[in-house]
Amino acid sequence: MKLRKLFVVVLLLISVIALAGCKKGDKDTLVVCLGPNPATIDPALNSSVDGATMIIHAFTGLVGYQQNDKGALELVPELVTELPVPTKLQDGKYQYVFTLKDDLKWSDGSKLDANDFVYAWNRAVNPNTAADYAYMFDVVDGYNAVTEVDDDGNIVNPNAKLNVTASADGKKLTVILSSNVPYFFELLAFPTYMPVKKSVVDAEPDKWATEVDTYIGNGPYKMIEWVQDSKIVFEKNPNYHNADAVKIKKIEFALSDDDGAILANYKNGTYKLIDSVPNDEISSLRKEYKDEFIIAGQLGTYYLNFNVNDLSIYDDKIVTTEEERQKVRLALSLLIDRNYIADEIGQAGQLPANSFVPIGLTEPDGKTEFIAKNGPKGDGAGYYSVENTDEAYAANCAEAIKLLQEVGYTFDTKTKKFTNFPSFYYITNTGTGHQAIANYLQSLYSGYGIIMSIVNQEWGVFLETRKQGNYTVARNGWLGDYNDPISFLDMWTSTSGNNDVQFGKDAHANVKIYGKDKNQSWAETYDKLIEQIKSSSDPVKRFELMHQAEDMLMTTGAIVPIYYYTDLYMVSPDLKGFFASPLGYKFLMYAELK
Amino acid sequence: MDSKLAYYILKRVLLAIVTVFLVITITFFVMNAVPGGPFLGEKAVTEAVMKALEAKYGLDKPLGEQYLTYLKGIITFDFGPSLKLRGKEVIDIISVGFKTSAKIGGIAAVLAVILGVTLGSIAAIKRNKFTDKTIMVLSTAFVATPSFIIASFFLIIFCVNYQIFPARGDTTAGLIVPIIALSLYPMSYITRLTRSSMLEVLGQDYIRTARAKGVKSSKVIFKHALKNALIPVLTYIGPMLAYILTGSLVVERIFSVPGLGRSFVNSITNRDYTLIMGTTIFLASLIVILNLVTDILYKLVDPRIDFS
Repeated sequence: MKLRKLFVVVLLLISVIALAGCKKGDKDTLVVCLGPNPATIDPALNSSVDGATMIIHAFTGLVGYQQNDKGALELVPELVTELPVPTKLQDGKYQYVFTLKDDLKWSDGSKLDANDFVYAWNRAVNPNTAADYAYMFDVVDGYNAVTEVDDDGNIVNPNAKLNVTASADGKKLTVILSSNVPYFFELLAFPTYMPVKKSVVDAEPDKWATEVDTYIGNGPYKMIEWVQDSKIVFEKNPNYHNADAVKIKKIEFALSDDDGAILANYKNGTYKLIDSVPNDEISSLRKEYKDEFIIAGQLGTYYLNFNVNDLSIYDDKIVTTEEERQKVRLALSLLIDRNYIADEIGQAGQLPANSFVPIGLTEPDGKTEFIAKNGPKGDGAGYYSVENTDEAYAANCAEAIKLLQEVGYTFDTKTKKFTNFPSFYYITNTGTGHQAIANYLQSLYSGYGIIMSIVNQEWGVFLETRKQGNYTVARNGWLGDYNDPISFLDMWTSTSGNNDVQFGKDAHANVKIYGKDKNQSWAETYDKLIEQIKSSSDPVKRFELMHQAEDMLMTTGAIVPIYYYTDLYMVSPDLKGFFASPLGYKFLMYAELK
Repeated sequence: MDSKLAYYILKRVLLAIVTVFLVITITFFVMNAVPGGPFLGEKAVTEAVMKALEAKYGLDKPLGEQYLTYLKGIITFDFGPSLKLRGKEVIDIISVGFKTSAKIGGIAAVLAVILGVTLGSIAAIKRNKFTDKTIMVLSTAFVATPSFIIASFFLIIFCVNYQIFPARGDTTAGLIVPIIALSLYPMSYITRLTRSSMLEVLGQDYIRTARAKGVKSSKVIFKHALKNALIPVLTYIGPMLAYILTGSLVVERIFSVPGLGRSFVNSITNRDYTLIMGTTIFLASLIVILNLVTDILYKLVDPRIDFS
């Protein structure tokens, strides 16, 4: 009897505590979960998407995004009175003069002016700050001098600065760009370009962005709490220049990376917006939460890539020239059924890719998609067909078999298998989606008598293996940094750190089959082409060159696009006025809770 | 305290220091031998940035020198800054995480011992009756089910379907389910342990003598039987705490509890060298200390144990 009483008391106690903790939030507090504890929310140092979302709520740049009546995103003047037209200088450089709005303030009430931008940008680009995204400033005059290092890694010009100046009254900011940059306003809306307050940053260069007292911004919100691995809480900033437009008083960013727990909290109504869901629940969630499960376009491509310096995949008695290697790679690419991968494995509305530069990037007219003009003919047909019909896929496979036969591999028409194709390794990082694609490729190729072994690697190991070029074929993916195709093309120059294919590196540096006369190296052709694009001031010509660059990339067969990424998130019907950008950033400052 | 015990403790403390030192050395070199690095990401940073980062954190020095510098730091309890969480000190990350982990781990351990011993004793006393069988079936089930399954199951039942508790482990109420999930395995294990050792003790001559002399049943159980039946349970406390420490890695993740487990796992994925070292040293020291304490307790409860 006594035991029973005790049991009842304990149960009651537990219920009381539980109910006390069951605060589901009110209309003034929005709880969202966009990722785990961010590595940093310093605008200069951040390189994560969830960190960027927090930063755009705590800081505001010269230019920002707003959603127009039709639901499309627009770049609008934020801290400036208008978006200026650049003037071409005599030396071929371009000058922008920005006029700042009156009475701009930091969240602590102190005055903000053009000097804060001069400071923030020079800080971000300084190698000693060690910002991942320092290269976002490579369009600004002076960047090369600031970042130049000698062979030992020492900075050559420690006193060099970007060509950015503030007027004496702090009202005007003059920026000199080394060439015409059509996407410069986009860059200005990027977190790395946001101002930081000199006095707090100089006092605690590392810690300032981790403490509430020193994390001073100029955005719609200010941080009032950061509990490690638990939550970051933002409160409306009364000193924000457009504070009247901000409706929700508090935003709580719950910090978690367990998809199951995140979904549980969305389902029970605690979180109103979540940015990740368990992979194996995608198809059921799409049905169950039709209006809340959003699949949005994202600037990115999931692809496989060959290592041009690893010849183990080619039989050296049969495949002897780089041209033949290209054919082998193109054939292996053509055999892949991208529609199957997107529909059956991805299941998240991914679009099968027929080019490396993804959907969502526009031509100079601002309307036509870049991909509408891709492909060798420039007609938007892509570099191979991804039409979702059996005939189209069969034609691709027939073409692949033909290519391999041309090169000299033996195809047994009875068994429909190649008899002498060497086996090879495919590396991927652990993750259910990546694993499923690897399994599909393995069974696909084995149907043609081609043995592909899968090597699964832990993320850190995988990154290193890929960077070093110690692999044959690897999974890969790339998300663009801004709305311009160059973000997908300049990564393949021979000096780029993101050039996992190893174009123009080591042995491939001596391969001279590129250019008009097919006698030039990768550095002599592709690197030059990118240089030309970057210095071109004629937008139409510039885009023509970018299509040329993509043609060149795709001809190598070393890049095998699979699908264009989508951004999956779930948003509660209670949350109105929220929008997301193709970079995956979530904008909550103009949202309301119903 | 007798001198044998003092000598024993001294010996064990010295051994513990050697153990932790070995852990530090092995972890340091293995960690550096594993491919990947803290500044390697999907997008490559420029060479200038990479050099600046390596110089900033001393990773440009030879490995041996880095090791010595690290050892020097540890002596003064300086674990350095995290390489990945910019602006955060390793010691701060550990202390914040450990506070939460210790809270749920501690409560789970106490709960497991109290409930385990109670249920085990009841089962032994009601041997072969319905109560005994129910307790045994349940405890067998909980011993056999891994904590991540129990945790996921509880999450769906209590936090999503019935919404009795929040699914966020960073609130007080949200800690209840993780604590229960974490304590079920050790509780069931202790139940089974107590039951069998209790049964053994209850069959001993001195218990029969006590009963024959007319000692009250409750006194026989609590004063004479339980004390001796608890010795095997005590030996389990060390391994149990180790289990709770490691088990909480999984449970913390499932319930988004901001504990040390999460930092530990993430530090390895991120190659956050200083945080890997800090958490490893901390956890290793904790386990070594817990084992030492258990052994001493063991001696205090059972004077027959000889340390020489």
